[in-house]
Amino acid sequence: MKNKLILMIACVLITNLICVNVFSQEKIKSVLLITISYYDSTWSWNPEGVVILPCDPPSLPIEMAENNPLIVFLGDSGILIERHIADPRMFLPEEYNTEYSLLDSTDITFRLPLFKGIKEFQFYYRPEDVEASNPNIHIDLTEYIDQYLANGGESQKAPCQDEPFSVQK
Amino acid sequence: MKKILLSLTPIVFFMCFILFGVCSCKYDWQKPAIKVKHSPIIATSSEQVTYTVTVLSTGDSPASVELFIGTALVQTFNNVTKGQTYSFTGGPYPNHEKGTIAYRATITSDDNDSETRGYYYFAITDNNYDWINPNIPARYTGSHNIKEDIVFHHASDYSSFSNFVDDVGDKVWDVYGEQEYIEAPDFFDNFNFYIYRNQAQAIGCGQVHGNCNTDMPWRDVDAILHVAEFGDCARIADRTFTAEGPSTQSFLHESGHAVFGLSDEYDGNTAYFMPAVEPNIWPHETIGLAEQITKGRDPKKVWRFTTNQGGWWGIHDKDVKTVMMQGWVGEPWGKEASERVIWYFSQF
Repeated sequence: MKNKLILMIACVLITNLICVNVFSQEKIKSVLLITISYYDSTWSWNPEGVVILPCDPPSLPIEMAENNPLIVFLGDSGILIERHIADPRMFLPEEYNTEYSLLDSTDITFRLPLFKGIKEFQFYYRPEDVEASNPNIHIDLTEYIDQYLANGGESQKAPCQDEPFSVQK
Repeated sequence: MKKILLSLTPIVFFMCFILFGVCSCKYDWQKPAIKVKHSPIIATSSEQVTYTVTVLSTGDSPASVELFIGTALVQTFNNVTKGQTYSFTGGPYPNHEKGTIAYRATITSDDNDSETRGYYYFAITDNNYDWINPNIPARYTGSHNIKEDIVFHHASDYSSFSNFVDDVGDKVWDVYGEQEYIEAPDFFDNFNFYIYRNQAQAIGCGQVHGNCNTDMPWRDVDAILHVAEFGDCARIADRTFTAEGPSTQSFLHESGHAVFGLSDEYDGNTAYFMPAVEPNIWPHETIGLAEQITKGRDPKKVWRFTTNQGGWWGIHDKDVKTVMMQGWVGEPWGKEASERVIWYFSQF
């Protein structure tokens, strides 16, 4: 009987852990826009470049091999989502007569799903930065998410909400 | 004799699996199958629209096709033949201006086996191509969260918006719609196509209009079409590419980069990269060798096709122009790129 109780408690605990984990990565119908820039050999961001919209996000960026830049979403319990992405400085020119080199400067706006439970965003450009736990970009998203929810969250109106399509229309 | 036959049964079953089970994974030709398109890809309220059904299979018996616009049955094609196309012209649709038209088609065999394609939605604009939003649905098949949204943008060198709309129709129907794998209706229906009203820049690897992120943060891929011919470009990080609109020179190749995450297979001044899953090229010979051995292929096919960026390896035949070597419609993907494209569609 005692063993059964221990087993039951263990099952409940494990199930809850799984539920919390799945719930924490649940997408909501909102998209997080984060613009980062590369100038003078430095990655930067500014507060106006972080926006949350009440619309569907695109699919996650194309996942690259591990030696590529890394984006990470953190929640209260640590890493929620991490993904290696293509180098934002990389472009693929055709019929290019000059020796190839990565862009000296660029801006990119990530459009990412707003997973439930996310608190922070990190961007690591080089594998060495990941090894050293030294993100090139680190943004505390709490304030942005709180403000978004205070403004009505998903129930807000925005231009990115498509008209619903109907057969009759 | 009976024992011999019985002992052969597992072998026969295995052979049947190989011949029919594996070969039929792309299409099940025992069932009726169709694909449907409309033209122009978005219509003004004064234009007629032609709907074309292509019969891919009738199954094992004669079949008929019914075409519905909205909920109304507008045309029945009886005794259809595999490989043939059947058309119906409808409209103009002034009452649908700034709305959408929905259509579907169903093929039914005499055995009562059937397949439906649609509903597909496309916009009816006013005569200036204005719609309720700057992002105009050209072929909408389902919600953004379950489909891949490809948005077409026009560069400043288009002399008219209608030329751009024509070019988008050509890219969707005559490039994607005719290219191996993408053309398969189960794959093709994973895409929504949109046309964006605001102008983009094609130079400098392409730059979409500043309102894009607030108008369409849900978009997956940006395709910027231009008229002039010049060396095009793609970016993987934000899945953007440029291509000539009137010709088909770069569109498929650049789509290989931005839509499917494929790297170049030619030796040139470009960047080579490896996605996490099913890459078409490798930065180390050992990765390629392991891939070939795992998949039961000849490891001797792995070769170093470029010495740039430390050298990259592939198995593509240097004498065969693949999509990622050149990219004209109808060119083969090649083995490794094919595996990536099929994997991509398996994610939906």
